[in-house]
Amino acid sequence: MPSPLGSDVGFEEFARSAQTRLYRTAYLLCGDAETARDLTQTTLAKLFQHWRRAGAAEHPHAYAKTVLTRTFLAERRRRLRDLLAFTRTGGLVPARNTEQPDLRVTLLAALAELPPRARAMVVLRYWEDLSVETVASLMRCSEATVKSQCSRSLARLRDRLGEAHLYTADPHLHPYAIGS
Amino acid sequence: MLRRAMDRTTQDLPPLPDLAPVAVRLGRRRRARARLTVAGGVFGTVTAAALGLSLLSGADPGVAMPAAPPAAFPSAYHTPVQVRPTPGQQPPEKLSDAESARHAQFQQQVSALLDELLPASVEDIRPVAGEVSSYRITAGGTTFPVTLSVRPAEGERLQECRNQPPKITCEKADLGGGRTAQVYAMAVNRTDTLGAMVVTRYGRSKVLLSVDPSDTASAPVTGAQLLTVVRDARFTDLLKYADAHPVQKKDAPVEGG
Repeated sequence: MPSPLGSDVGFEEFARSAQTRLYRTAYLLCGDAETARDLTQTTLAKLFQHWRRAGAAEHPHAYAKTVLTRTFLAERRRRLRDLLAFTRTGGLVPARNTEQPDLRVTLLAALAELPPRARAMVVLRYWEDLSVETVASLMRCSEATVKSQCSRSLARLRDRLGEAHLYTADPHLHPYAIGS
Repeated sequence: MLRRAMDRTTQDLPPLPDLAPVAVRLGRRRRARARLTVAGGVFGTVTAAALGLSLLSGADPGVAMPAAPPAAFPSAYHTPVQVRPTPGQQPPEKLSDAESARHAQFQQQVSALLDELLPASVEDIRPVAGEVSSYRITAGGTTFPVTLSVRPAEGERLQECRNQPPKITCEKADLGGGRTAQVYAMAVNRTDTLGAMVVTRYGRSKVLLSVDPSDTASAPVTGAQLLTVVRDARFTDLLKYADAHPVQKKDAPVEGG
C-alpha cells in the first residue's frame, strides 16, 4: 500500500502477487499467451501509474481486473475498426483459420467466437466469480444485460463444445484442449 | 464446470518472468507523459479560448503554426470537453505548446464543419481536450463519442467491404477523383446498439470518421449522413491539411489486448 505521502511502496509486492492471476484472465480474454503477457504488462504499468488511487482502493485486485478488462476492450475496439477497413499492401493479412484442420475444439476457440464484451462478461462472471452486480458495474451496463449476455454466451459455448466436453475434458490430450 | 475448464485451460501457461520492474518503468513514463499532457492541454485550451476567432481564422501572427488548417466555414467556438482518463485508457501523448494549439485549432475546424453538416438532431459538438481525434456530440440529451482519425498510413489500402449482417454491413461509395469510401453500420459493445463509420484514404493517410453508440442508444447519425460529411469539399480540405501536416502519428505496434 502506498504511504500517506503517496509513495509507491507496496506496488511491486502487489504486482508479483497479482500477475499470475491477471495473466490467466488475460489469456482467456485474448486467446494467446504472448498477447496475454503484453496485456498483463500493460495493466500493471497502468496500475503503477495510478497506484496512489489503486493501492488505496478497498480491493486493489478488483481494481486491477477492471483495468485489465477495459484495456482489453479498448484495444479490441481499435483493432476491429482497423482490421475491418485497412490492410497492409503486400503484407500478410491476418486471417482466422476457421477450418481448424485438426478439428480440435478448444475452449479458447469457443470463447473467441463470442463478441469481446460477451467474452469479458463470461470470464469475469465464471472465471473471476464476480457477481452480476459487480460485472455490470465494471462493464458499465445493466445487470439485465449481464444476465442475458452470459446466458446467451453459455448456450453458445455449450453448442460449440458440448456438455460432455465441458464436463469430461481430458487435460492431458492437449494443454488447452477441452475435447478432441 | 465451465470454471474447471477455464482452470485447466490456463494452468499450463508458460511461466511469467517478474513483470513488476518493467511495470514500474513503464508506469513512470506514463505518469510523466500524463503530467506533461495535462499541462500542455490546459495551455492549449486556454490559448485557443483566449485567441478565439482570430486563432480560428489563422490571423494571429503570434502563434507559430505550420500552415493553419483551412477556415472557410462557420467558426463558433466549440468549448472542448475534458474527459477524465479512466483506468485502462491510453494517456495522450506529450505535445509542445505550439503543437497543442495546432491540434486544438484543427479540432475547432472539424467541430465547426460537423456542426454544419450533421443532421439537426445533433444538438452540440465539442472536441475532447488533448485528444485530437476525439469529439463528443449530444443528441436527445445523450452524449455519443465521435472519432475523426487522419493517420499517416503509407503502404496500407482499403480492404474489400466485409459484410456480416446483421452485425456489420458495409457499402462501397464513390467519392469521385478515383477515391472510394466504405460506409459501415455495425453493432458496437452490444448487439442492439449500432454505430456508424466511414473509412477512406486521402493521400498518404487513412481516414476514419465514426459515431459510436452510447451505453444504451444507437448512434444518432447514419453512415449515409457521415458520407455527406466526407463528400463535402471543405472536409476534403481538412483532410488535405492533415495529410500534409499530420495531427496523429503512424500506428504504433499494438500493446496488450
